[in-house]
Amino acid sequence: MSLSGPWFIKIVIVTKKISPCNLIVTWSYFDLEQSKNQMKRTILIFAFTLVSFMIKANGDSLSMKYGRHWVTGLGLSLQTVWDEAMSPVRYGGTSLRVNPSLQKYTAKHWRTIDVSLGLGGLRSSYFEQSKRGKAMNFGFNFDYRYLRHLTGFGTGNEVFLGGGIRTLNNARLHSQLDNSILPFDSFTSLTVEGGLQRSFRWKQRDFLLRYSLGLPIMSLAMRPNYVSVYNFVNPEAKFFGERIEEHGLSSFGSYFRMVSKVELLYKLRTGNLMGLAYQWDYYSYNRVHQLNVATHTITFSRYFNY
Amino acid sequence: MKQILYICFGVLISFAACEEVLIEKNPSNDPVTNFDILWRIMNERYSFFEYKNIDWDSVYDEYRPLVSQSTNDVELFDIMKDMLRILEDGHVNLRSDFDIVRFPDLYLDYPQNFDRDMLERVYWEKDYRITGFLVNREIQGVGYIYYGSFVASVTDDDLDFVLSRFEDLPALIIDIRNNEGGDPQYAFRMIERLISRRTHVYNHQFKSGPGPDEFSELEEIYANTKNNVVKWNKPVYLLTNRNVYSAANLFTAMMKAVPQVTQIGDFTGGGGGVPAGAELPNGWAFNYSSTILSLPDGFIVENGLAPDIFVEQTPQDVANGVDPILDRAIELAKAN
Repeated sequence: MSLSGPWFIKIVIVTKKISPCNLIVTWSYFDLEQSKNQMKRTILIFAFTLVSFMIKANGDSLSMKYGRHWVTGLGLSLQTVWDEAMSPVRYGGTSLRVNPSLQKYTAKHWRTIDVSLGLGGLRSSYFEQSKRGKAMNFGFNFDYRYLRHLTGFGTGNEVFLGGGIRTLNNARLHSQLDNSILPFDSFTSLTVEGGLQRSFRWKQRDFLLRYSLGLPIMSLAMRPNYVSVYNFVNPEAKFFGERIEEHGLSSFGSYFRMVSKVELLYKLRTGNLMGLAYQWDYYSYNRVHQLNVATHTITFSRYFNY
Repeated sequence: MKQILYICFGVLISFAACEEVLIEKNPSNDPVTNFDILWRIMNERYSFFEYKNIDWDSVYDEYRPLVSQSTNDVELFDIMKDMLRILEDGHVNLRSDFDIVRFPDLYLDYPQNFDRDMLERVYWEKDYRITGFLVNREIQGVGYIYYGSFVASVTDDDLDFVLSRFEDLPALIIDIRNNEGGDPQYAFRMIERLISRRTHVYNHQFKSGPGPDEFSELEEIYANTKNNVVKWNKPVYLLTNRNVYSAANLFTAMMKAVPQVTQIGDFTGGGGGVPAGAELPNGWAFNYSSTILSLPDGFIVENGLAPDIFVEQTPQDVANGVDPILDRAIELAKAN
């Protein structure tokens, strides 16, 4: 392992020092480039994020106590899609996301119900050479998470662990594809959820920094059939019935997803919160047609007490 | 605070960079790669190689050497066009900004057996109704419907009107010559007026994997009868030619299962596979047949359906203002 790789240099330039965090970054990237195993690469990325957070989040300040919040969020996503059912090349684009959610935070647990609706456009990687590669994408996610406090309630450094149900539904409308116009993916997963929370004061103001991570362990997956054509030559075929019949049970071998979110919350005088979050959502599926999707989302949100 | 910003920034750039590692790499957008991808997708997804006895590997050996990194777009398109035409399949096409591959040999190599202009002047006599998209009139005491495209919608109201109009007549002629297909739902909408019980009309199989023998289970497709609408249980004469294709060919296949239907004219053009779509790195899109459709007795309809009564129309007939196919149908209809 070399510590003189380009990533190490870049991170040291940013942070201007060699720290344990930087070493993990360097090691992760070095190993990522060496490894062909997707699972291993993803776990390394997770390990980096988790460890770097724990190394850095060791201050002391006010902690968030009890609260129930109605959250409205508006976000912008950058998405990269490689869907063999749609194209042999990557598509990328932006979408607008609306994220309403409910959150309840007590001494025992942190519960959330999140909805995410997205609408946007995608373009082929070679769009500049040929203007034909254009698609629309639609997304709908519904997540329920229940996390228990493991340690540190009221201390400013809190750790959570729990589970959840996450649904992920994406569809891409690509008019070039004739009867295969609608490649889609739908996953409903039982997940393991983790979270870290650090509260601190800065310039006389209260802040919360949260990191959360979700990993599906078992999922119901639905994808188009091999030729991506709905069975419209059978009048007795039902679109949703067909999809449900085609569903498959998937685990780490065929479906992998990681939802990693960092959120900075600023406490207002009213007790409400303002939030700025960055989420990285990556998933891959390798049955029938391979699929890789990565989505970066920046969300501005407002937490209202109720 | 500074440390926290470092964390956020570190996380941001780390995940952004992850995509390059985790997501499948792009194939290059060059002539050779585009050709190879077209050949490979066809190889894995096209449904009629075995039925048409085509050795797709030898096709690759023949055409691949014609492509190099210096092949320009027009040259590449023409090479692909020649390769795809080997399939003799009207559902196979390739679409670029400057051209579209089609397969006109399906009908150009055969007598046309249809002349709409003459038909309109001599038989329709400017005195016909157009109900929705159904041209209809009574010709010599027989009900006549011309349906020119399954792209054009047929509603229950249209069918109720037309069939009511002819209810006192002894037979019905449905002329679908030069109908190149469209939406199969209109075929079902029409046939449900002609059957008295749920009827097995054809079989269907999807390509279900990349291997040459990977198909879904054979699925029996049924047409259902419809209640509370105007029905027709008297003889029907279906007029076809080589330009009857795709959904119109499907309609002809379905009509084979209806006892009171007689097909008159020429073979249909075929098109027995549902077209699916894909694209190449350079943005060109293409369609291919992705299913196999067969009659209840197992006959594959890809290459067309033979008429029960073969009748041709010669250029001399057209010049003389005669349509022997329609005449034969009228003659049989009047005999009922």
